[in-house]
Amino acid sequence: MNYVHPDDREPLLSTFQKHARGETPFYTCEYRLGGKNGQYKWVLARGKVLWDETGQPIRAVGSLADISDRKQVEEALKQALQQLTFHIENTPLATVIWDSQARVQRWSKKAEEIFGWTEAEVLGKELYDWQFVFEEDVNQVNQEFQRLQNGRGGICCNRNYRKDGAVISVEWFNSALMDEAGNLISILSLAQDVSDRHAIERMKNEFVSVVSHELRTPLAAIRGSLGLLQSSKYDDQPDKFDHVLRIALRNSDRLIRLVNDILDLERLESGKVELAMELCQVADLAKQAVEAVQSIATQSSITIEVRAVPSVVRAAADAVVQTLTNLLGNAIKFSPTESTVWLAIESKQRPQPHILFSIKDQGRGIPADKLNLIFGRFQQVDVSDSRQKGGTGLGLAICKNIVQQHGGQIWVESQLGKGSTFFFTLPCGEPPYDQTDFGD
Amino acid sequence: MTKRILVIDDERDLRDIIQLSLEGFTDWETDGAGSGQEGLDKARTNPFDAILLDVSMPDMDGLQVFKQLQSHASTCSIPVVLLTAKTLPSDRHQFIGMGVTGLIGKPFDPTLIAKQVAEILGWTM
Repeated sequence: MNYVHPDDREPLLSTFQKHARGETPFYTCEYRLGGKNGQYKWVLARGKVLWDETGQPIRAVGSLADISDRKQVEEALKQALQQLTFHIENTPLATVIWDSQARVQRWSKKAEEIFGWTEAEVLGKELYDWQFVFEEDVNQVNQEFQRLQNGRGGICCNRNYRKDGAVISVEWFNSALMDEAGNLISILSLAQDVSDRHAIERMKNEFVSVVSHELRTPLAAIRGSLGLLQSSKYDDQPDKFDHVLRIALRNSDRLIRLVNDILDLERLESGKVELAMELCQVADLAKQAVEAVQSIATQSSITIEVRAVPSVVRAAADAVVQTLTNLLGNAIKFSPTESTVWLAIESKQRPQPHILFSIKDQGRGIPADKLNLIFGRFQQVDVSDSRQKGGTGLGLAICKNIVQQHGGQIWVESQLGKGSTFFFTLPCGEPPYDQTDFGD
Repeated sequence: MTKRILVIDDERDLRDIIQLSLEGFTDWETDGAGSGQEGLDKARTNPFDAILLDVSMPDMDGLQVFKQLQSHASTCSIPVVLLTAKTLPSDRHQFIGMGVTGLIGKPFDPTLIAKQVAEILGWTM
């Protein structure tokens, strides 16, 4: 017993005693046995105790085998398995292992996170035993499974249900393990939720298709009118000549506005250009914006009334003026002639100190279901507005972007037929400034 | 008899240019409509020899207008030429398959559009 590794003595003794009491027909035990050089070797002891007629043990017969090599292999296997398990549980991809009948054999923590079901809930279930594959994508998934049954793995992008019922787009990277006869043993699937990426791609595609239409239209008008002028067909009809010339000019302006707005928006959204923040007198910002829209207001006999408290805000002056100009311009465009547009700037302390800008008109108002939409790109209340009112459909998206980059909020309240009020806030994050620093 | 053409396009400037281009190079008479519905109303109440129809329009697009024209006895025999930026062979195939007489691409050459229309319709100028 002295040669047995201290950790193995107790198990060896108990195995032997069990057998000696007649509880087991044989004894069998693995333990470490010390050699002459003090090194231990793993051995496997197997045997049987022989008893005499009175039930007294006479002696034990058995064998002792050196199993060091096997123990080494076992240890290596154990380590490899631990390593693999660690990676499966820690990869950012969900890991799912399916058997040859598409039953779940393994469902990693990340799979629980992405899909919502725990391993216990899906273990042993077949792919279609629970509501997991989005109905419209069943064919696609079946085809991928068939490919895997033939030993060909691949990438499959399809929609899946989450446990909460939400539909997500998932990219599956699959590989098939086959036996020598070419039969499927198991499938390893690594999966990634790509819903966000898909949503962004969809938005980009929609944007490109709308932009291409919006760009082509004025271009076609410019190309057409210039071609007509060059043909000299209307040289002796000054009215028509002038009309065609105006069309060319009007559409050039429209194209310039659109290109400017698209570039502005891209610049703002890419975050490549940081807005240069400076301390500004809000009354100055209001004054600049009103000057910019005064001529179109005068054309429609619209009065602009400004009420601004004397206060300062840390902001990108040009961007805020652009926002105000945009909102005032919209208010004027949608106001009946001889009405009033109000611009109010107030200083608020709750919940955080901020400046509240409001632009109120007496126009046609905005339907309730459009109130949130109009800040999106090309989301005018009426699609014909861009032509009739000269807008690009990007103005409010630009305003929203500018306000958000300042850490403020923008929203609109409206009553159909009575008018709309657009609000936006700019936070005053820093202590009050000495007003005397900002003389006129 | 002077040919009469109806131009349906929601973009007023483009419609004007098309009408001026057709009138400047032929002795045809033209009329314009700023929406699909206006176009249908005009086509049903006035005699036209052909309709030039913009495809991408809000509310009722050109293809919907075309279907409506086809479903009405008074308008189903008027030849329709589509105006569209979509002029890939596959698009052309799809439109012609629907029964459209021809396609003219956008942007168009104002000095050639009348000739293109005449060729599509087999008219002599």
